[in-house]
Amino acid sequence: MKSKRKKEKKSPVIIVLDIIIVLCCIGLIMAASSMIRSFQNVYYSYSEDTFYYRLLEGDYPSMVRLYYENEENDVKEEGDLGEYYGVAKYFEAASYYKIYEESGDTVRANHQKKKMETALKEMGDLSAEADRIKEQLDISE
Amino acid sequence: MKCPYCGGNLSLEDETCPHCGRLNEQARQHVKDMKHYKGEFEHAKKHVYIATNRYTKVVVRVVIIAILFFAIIVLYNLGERSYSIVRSIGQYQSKRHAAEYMKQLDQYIEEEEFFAFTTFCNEHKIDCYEEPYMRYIPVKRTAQNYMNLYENIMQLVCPTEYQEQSSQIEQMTENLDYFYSSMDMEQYEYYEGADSESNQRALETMEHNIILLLQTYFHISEEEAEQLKELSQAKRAVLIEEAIIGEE
Repeated sequence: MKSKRKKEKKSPVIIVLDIIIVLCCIGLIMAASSMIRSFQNVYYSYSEDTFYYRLLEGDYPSMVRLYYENEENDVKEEGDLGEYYGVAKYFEAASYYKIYEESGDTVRANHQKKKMETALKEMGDLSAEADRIKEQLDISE
Repeated sequence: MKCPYCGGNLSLEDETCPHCGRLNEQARQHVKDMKHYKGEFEHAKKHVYIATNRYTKVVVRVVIIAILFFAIIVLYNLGERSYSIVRSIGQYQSKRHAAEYMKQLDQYIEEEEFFAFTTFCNEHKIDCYEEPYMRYIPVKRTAQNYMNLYENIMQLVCPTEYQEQSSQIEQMTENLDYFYSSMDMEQYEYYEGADSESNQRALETMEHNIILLLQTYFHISEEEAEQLKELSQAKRAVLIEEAIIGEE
């Protein structure tokens, strides 16, 4: 004898509530990803590409600012980023070397010269930028 | 009750008389009535279970929806306040490690590393308007403006095709304004330790560096550089523009 099993029909209220639950779950995922994005934006950093394009434009002063802003957000010197940092540090040191050299402040000038030498080592494949920087700043040596 | 046939004792549950074996008519009606009432009871019980079950399902779903809504609101609020949360955590940490951080800041001032000083303060969310960092306020404010000014000056020295010179000069003269105003020590008189010798020296060094940058790269004379402080923004812009055109 077959047992007749009646299929339990879901009430419309339950169906509507289930739909609302599904929508709330989607909303929760969106809220969570929005929150994660907000926290990531607090630690905004500049990528290698940003430094590359600034270098292409010859915008050394803004590379200095980008370097320090990355330092603020504790961005590690991974990949080519270390070389771009080297260019920024070299430019900064060279700009100060010139002003101290011309004003006769040899102590500070020598200190900046040492910083230029250290930065040159960090520049790696971008060491050719050193000559361009010296040319831009009219440093003759 | 008594059996109508033999007079023996009977109960309502006896379908037949235990003495004479005849049918108990009264019991038959009772059993029939009991079956009917039991059926109704079971039917009513089933309906109560179904209704309660349905009610429970609705209540559980409503509670889940309420919890999800609350979680969504909390997450959105956390996202909106992300900067202030990170800042608060940073400030708490900076107070915990105050001795270590202050030693580092003093070293930066000593070594005239003003960009590194500013970066360190920003990285560690150091609030110079709160103790124990109040004494660094003049250097912090001035160093930030000094950094902006350095970038403006060097961008005029190394211009790119995407930068408009006149707007660069305008920005530079504006930042010169901020720089000179942040150097005014009178505004820091209520901050303990702000007028220290090391702070004074740091501010003088930054001012001296700005003058050297202008003299070296724009060939502004020493007198003109000294006068810059007193000039209006418009006159500064004219002086710097003339110096740059002269350079070109």
